[in-house]
Amino acid sequence: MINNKRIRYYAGKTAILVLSIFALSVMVFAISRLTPMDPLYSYYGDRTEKMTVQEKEEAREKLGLNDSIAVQYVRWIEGALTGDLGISYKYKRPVTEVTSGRLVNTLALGGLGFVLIFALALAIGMFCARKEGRPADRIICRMGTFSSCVPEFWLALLLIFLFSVTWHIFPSSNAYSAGGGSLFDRLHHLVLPLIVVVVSHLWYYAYMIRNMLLEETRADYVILYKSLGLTDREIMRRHCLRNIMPELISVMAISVSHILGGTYIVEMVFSYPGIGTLCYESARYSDYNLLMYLCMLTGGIVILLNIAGQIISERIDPRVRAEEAGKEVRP
Amino acid sequence: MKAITVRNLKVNIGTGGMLTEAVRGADLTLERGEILVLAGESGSGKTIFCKSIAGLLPRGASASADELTVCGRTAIVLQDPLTSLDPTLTIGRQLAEAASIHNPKLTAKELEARAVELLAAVGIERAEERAALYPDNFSGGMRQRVVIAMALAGEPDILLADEPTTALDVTVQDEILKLLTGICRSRGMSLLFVTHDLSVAETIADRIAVMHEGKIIECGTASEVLTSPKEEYTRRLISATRIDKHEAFEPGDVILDVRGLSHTFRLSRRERLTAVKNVSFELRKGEILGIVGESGSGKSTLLRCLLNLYEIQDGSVIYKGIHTEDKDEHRANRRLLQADRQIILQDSAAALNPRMMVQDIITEPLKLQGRMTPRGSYRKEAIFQLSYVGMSSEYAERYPKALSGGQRQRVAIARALTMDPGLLLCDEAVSSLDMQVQRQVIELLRHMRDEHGCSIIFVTHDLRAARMLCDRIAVMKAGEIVETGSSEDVFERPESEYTKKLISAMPGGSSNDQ
Amino acid sequence: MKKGISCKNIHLSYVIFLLIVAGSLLADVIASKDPSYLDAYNTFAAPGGEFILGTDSLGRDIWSGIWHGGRISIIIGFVSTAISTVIAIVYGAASGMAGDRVDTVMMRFTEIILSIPGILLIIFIQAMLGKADILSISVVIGLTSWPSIAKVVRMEVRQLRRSDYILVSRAMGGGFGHILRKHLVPSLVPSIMFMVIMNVRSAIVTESTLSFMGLGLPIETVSWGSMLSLSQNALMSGAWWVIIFPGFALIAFLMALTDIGNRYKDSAMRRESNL
Repeated sequence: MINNKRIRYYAGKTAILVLSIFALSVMVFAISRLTPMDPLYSYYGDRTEKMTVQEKEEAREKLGLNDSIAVQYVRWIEGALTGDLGISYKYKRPVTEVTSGRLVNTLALGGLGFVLIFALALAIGMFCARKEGRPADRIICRMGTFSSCVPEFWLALLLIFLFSVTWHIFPSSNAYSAGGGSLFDRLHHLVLPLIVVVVSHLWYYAYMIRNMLLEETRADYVILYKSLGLTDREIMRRHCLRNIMPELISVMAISVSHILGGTYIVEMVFSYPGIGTLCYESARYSDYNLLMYLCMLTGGIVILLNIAGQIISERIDPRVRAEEAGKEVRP
Repeated sequence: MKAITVRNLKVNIGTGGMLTEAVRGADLTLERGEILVLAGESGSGKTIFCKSIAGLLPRGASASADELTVCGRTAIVLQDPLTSLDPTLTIGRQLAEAASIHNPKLTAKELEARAVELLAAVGIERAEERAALYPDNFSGGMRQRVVIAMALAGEPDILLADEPTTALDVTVQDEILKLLTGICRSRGMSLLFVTHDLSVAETIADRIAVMHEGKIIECGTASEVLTSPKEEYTRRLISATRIDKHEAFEPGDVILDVRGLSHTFRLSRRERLTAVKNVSFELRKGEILGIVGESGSGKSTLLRCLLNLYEIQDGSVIYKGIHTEDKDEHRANRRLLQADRQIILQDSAAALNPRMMVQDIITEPLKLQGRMTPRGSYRKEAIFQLSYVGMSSEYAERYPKALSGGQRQRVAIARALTMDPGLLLCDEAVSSLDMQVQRQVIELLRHMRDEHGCSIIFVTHDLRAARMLCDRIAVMKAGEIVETGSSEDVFERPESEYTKKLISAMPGGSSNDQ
Repeated sequence: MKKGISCKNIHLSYVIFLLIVAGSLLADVIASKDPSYLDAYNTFAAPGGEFILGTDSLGRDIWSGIWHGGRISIIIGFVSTAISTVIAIVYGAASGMAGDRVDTVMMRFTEIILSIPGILLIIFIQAMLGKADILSISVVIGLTSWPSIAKVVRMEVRQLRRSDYILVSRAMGGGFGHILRKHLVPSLVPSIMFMVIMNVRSAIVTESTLSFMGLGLPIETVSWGSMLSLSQNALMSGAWWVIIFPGFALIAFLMALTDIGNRYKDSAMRRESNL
């Protein structure tokens, strides 16, 4: 019985996942084909200017751009299901190949950023919640508000200006030096972009955690545990933190999209070879297949993590579980 | 031997212009093994007093006293059992944690055993299985038992209980009171029991202290305080719990006829819940009918059906000859029905829009019905109705937030009064109020009936309030009416087992012989 | 009491906010130069003298640019927020009033939109609309930033639907229109105000980011973002003023907005902590 219920539960979640990704693909496909840009420029570059009408027509035929959007979409999805995601018009290679090396760079930047952001946000959030209203909390809140008001690109510029141009401590661009690529070298290149990614998102989440914890400290069980002799710190760690976990996990899942978006901007300023720069190029020059692939990749990751986050928080929250089991013990 | 000695305790909350003096020089002693009831209205400072003894004052509160000695360990039980436990941990783990704070040397096995032992001590059966459950699997009364078990984990010498039964049904309240007194007597613990309800004091107290405006104004043995109070204020508190005989009202024609009413909720594709089952009764003009029952007995659903807020699925509700279950007939008479039947809800804070001024709230039904007022302007109408419910005109421009619970309930009544209704439906209208305020609101309702001759249906879980107000009582259990009769008959000569059980659970007993 | 509140409200953030808005409105008076005039003889002029805050790589006056650019940036911020707020209220209210199934589908849709990094979505739609100008960029930002406000609106509507005073109002004969006017709107406005103010902030950030990357306003249209789009050249020449001054103007305005927004939120009193 319970097993059956669980199967149905996961089946439901999978259905939502598939449907969401399908809806996403339709949306991105439709939007990208509605752009007035000519994808031929992406494929032939400046040569397009000199092509005759007939040549252009042939080129379109070759790239399959003459069919209706629906037909093109069906063709794309047939390919996608068999693992063929098409070739990039610009690079003239399969999109998976174009992105493979860069994907690692973006994941390193975004992933490290994500971990750092939430580790620091938890520490700061808990600290501020315990010191609510006291000078330490107020100062951190002020500083945090300030940091959240500095646009990513501007912070990046400032850091480049200070650390690269003026003091020459950190490199201003790329993921590794020419010919190099040792771990240290990579990390060295990662420092500035990482600082920007972390600083620009940190306060948003730290403040959210602080407020969630403060909400929790208003519950009566806090008084009860205090009367039993637990210290503020222990109550915060053992009880309040536990209670905000389900909510925090869903926030973390949604944050992936924000942090990725921020990563893209940072990649551009630092000329960091990740998929952010590719996204920008492909959108600008209508490199359809590449664009489609990148959107599905990032959107897919985010949707997947969202649903995973939902499942985890529903699993660890006994309130939801109790509802599911639907039992209440009466004396 | 004194367990607690407090001399001249003062507590201030907030700073600067927002400073409130919650406790203004209170003195109290609590003997070993004694049960002391601290009674007072909300806002009298009794909760803050209690918290300052336990050292649990909120941030921003400052306390000073000539003497504040507490001999022994204290533990506290709070009013709301729903938020008193950490919802993400099992009962067993929370009890084990509480036990380990008290005795850190215990092993995990011993802690587990201790948790089960504690659960059994507060009368939870099959404690071993239930230790694995989460607070959400428990009802309010069970949770309050667990909270008491948590308090016992610290092996306290003094138990502080802040309105621990106010949020519970009568029968559950009775059980918890018995449990608390039993535990204190058998373990020789002192109990400081804070409440607004003096009839509870009557049931359990050795001594009673009365708190008013931050001071303990009177303190003495239970019988002393209850039978020969020194202070005028205490006398008023006591009289609020009294049930006076009132003259029977001569009822007129039948205005509401309910026949075979049922209502079923669809919980999910398969599950159904029949909240109201085949209910029939009559209501005459000028009659006050009490519908009593425990939470979940279907009282509120019945009320909503009577108002056509829920569709009437089965049976008929005939109001002044109008078959309201008939959609066309209902629609044709909608205006009349809306004006003539008014509702008053329990939570007055939620029933008034916090963003509207009192005068706009009161005149909302008039404006809705597009009626003019005989008093010239809407503002004048609002002030008139306010004065009728005993509030001065200065309240007309306030917002609900600035009113006390009793005042808000008066505003809700004033709003209903503007339409001069033929039928007033009250859903737990006095349940969240202090005893004294309850009394005043009840008197107001009775006064309305006497002057305007409107009929009232008074839904409540509080038998005493029903007894004070109602001419006739219908007892509801699991969606059905199990007993009806005149107020006196039902209370003096109850027929069904269920009614008997309810009445014996009433604090202060069923007697009104004082 | 009333006096205390009004005194407290005159706060630094309001002063900064008003100063920048007024300065931008009066840009023609305050600015000493035409901000888009390319002074080929005075590229990278240092601050002081003729050019109060210096010039950029094209010889444009930065002092004038800040005020004229502020006007554009603030207009974009408010116009796009107006667009997204309208969409959000309609969508959120519809979702909140709808049955459970429709509501789930509608909320799922907002989640899908939120799953694409906002900046990507904006790049697409901007490409679709063609060359960016003030209106089109406002529309694009407005079209992509409504889901978060819509979620708050929906929550508020759901909560209201369950509230007792709506029940009473209905029992007294309050129709949909009455409830909308008297109950829904008055309680909705304060609760979404914070989100709306934050939306202005993020719209201005988005615009400046886009313009900085060369995807937003063309270089001839001076805004805080497009002024910074040339700063990469400035970096190499050590012309710090090109980066610092427009950035400061931008950050000061964002700070003021955030502070005003936070004040809105904090004014809803909360209970004391038990810790």
